[in-house]
Parts: sequence; C-alpha cells; structure tokens
Amino acid sequence: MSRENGSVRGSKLLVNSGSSAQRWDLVIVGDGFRTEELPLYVREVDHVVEQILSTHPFDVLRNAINVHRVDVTSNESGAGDLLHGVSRKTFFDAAFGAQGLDRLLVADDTLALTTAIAAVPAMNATLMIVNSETYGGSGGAVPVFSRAADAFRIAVHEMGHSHFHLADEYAYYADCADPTRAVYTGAEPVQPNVTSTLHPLKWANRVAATTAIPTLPNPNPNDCTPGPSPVPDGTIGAFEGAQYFRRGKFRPAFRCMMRELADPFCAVCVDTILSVLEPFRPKGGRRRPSRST
Amino acid sequence: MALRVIVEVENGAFTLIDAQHVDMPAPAVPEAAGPVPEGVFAELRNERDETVLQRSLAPQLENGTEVFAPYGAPRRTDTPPRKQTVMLVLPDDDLDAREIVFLRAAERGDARIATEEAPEDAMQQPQELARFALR
Repeated sequence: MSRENGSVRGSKLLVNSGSSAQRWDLVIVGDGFRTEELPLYVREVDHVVEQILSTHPFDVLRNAINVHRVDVTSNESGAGDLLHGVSRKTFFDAAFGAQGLDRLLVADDTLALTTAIAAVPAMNATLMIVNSETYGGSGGAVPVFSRAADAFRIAVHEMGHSHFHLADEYAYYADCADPTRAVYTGAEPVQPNVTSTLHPLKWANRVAATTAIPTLPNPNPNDCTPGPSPVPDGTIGAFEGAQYFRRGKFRPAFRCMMRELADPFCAVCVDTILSVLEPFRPKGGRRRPSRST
Repeated sequence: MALRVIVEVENGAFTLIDAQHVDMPAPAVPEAAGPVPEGVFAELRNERDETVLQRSLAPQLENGTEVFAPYGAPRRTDTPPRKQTVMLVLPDDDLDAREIVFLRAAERGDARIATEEAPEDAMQQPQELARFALR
C-alpha cells in the first residue's frame, strides 16, 4: 500500500475567496517530498498557484476559487521510473515511464482524490505536483505534473479536459502520418471547442461578420499544421484540423492552449471555462480573495 | 448542493469509490452538441428509473494516453487498457436521484439491421455498464 510510504501532515487554505459552500475549491497535493523537503514543496506550490491564477481566464476567476495545499510527506524523495526499474517509496506511487512512455508521469488518482476530500470536503478539483525536475505529467481525474519549468501547463491543459469539457485541438493523434486520421466523417463532437459543422457554427457568437468561414481550410490531408494564419492572432473563426483529424474538424482559433501548451486559451475555451465556473462567482458585490501568508 | 461521485474503471468493470452529497455548487455544463451522447456517459435516475440528468464522460474516459514533451506539442498514443479514475460533480438540487447509471452509447452507423420486432429506434439503445445506488 502506497499510503504506508508516507503520511498526511495537514492542509492549508492558500487562497480564500469565500465559503467552500459557494466557491470552486482546488486542492493541490504533492508526492515524493520527504519531511525535510516540505519547505521546497511549499515554495513550489506557491509558485504553481501563482502561475495558474495568472493564466487567463483563471486570473479573472480568482474570486471564485479557493486554493488549498495538502501537505503529504513520502518516505523517499522523487518519483519512480518504470522504464528503468527504479522504484520510490512515495505516498501516491508517482512514477515516470507508465505505459512504456518516458515522459508519462502517473500516480494513484483515487488515493489523491480521497486524500484531498479528507482534507477539504468540498473539493472540486485536485492537482498533484511531483518532486522531480524531469519534465512530465499526465491527465485523468487528477492532473499530475513535475517541478520542471512550465510543467504546470500540463495540469492546466488537463483541467481543460477533466473539468471544462474541452477537446484537444491538435490535428493528429500520435503523429501526422496516420492515414486513418486524414479526414473526419463522423458525428458532431460533443466538446464546445471543436466542430465538424460550419453552419451553424457552435461559436458563431464569437465570429466577426468580416471573418471568412472556414477561416483557414486545409487543402492537404497530409498536412497537420497548415499556416500561417490569414487573420490576426486571436481571431475566432474556423480553422481546419482539430481533435486528431487533419480535415473535417475545425477549431476556433489558430492558437490555443488545447493545441499547444505554450499558448493561451483561445476565446472560445475562455468562454467555456468562465461558463463552467459561473456558479462559483460572487453574486452582487465584488469580493477580493485573501492570500494566506 | 452537489453530488460528487468517484468511480474506478478497470477492464470494463466499474467500482464505486465515493458518492457524497456536498454543500457546494455544481459546475455548469457547456451546451453539448446534439441530444445523443457519444461513448460512455452517466445518468442520474429517479425512483421510477427515469433519467433526470445526463453527463458525457467522453473527455474523462479516452482510451489513448496524452503525452507531453518539453517545449513540444502534446500527442496521444494508444495504450493498453488501464485503471482509470473518474470524478463527476453533478447538480443535486430537486433531482431526487436514487441511482447513477453508466452507459455506452450505440455506435453511430451501427451495422445491425432493424426488424419488425426490433425497430430502428430500439436498436440504438445504449448498453448499461454499471449501476450504483445513491444514499
């Protein structure tokens, strides 16, 4: 049992925007931090929280979100490596190399959720930071990411899937050569940020009358990255190539976090996140979140 | 109030980990495309086994695994079936839900042939995967 490889030391409310009965409570847990590494964990969580809450639209949702840190110590430091037979005695069993993929960093999602709930009964979402400087992460019920620079973006992208119903916007699956993913002919996808239907367009309310639809067709079914964009950055339209297909599926913008982790969310994804978290936003008067020290 | 449900799915078998009524709002759901869900979805049922809420699990139960490289674009890769954990936070006000049911939608373009005994509508019934009582 991995929970024998460490212990829960407590929790702290880092960003207090109001009662948990009214706010979206985000819980961060850590794995692979020994007791003497808790100060490092605290610094890393503070840094990640600031990065996430600086990412649009979470920056404008600060007053809808509480953030909690659960302090979990592990008997050993770091993460295992399944590809190289390296094991670590950590609370959540975090390890690289799952499914034979070196950057795939996974952990015990179920234990992470139940640990988060024990500390924060009104938990809405849980993220896990793993004590490794090697870049990696994974999605699922608990997005997992390492301490590597910008790895927190994995968690933000994965929250797009697990909490905001967003689809991947890239136009390939494993690679661009897959002949089965040249042209999509299936049903309309359920996600709000991809479509196979141009008329009516799901996000038509975001499209200027002067924007051509399709905005960037993909005449070459072997091309995963047609471009450059014919419209200014941030323009919402219909760009062909999305959700693992090079043609027949469209995305709202040329660039988006759901396509490339380094990019910001496009306006349609921003609208979606705002709408999902609307029930958690303060009604009436504005309330400034307080930051614990 | 919200109903928060956590299940594990492994080799097609669903295990209920936790189901709690929690004093918090439920997240809103963006408008989905079309009335027929794709893939696996969940339904809350009342005491007459009527559906009172439906939620797609398409994003949570992808078969492939998303992998990330530093400064690179993400990609997906097919991986062997693995244990997955799914958490749902659903509205709980006035629904009087007694059970949560997990179903798989019929494939569009299913090759089965409708007959007089099994009209086309009936052929498109989703497959029930698991059912759990709610407290």
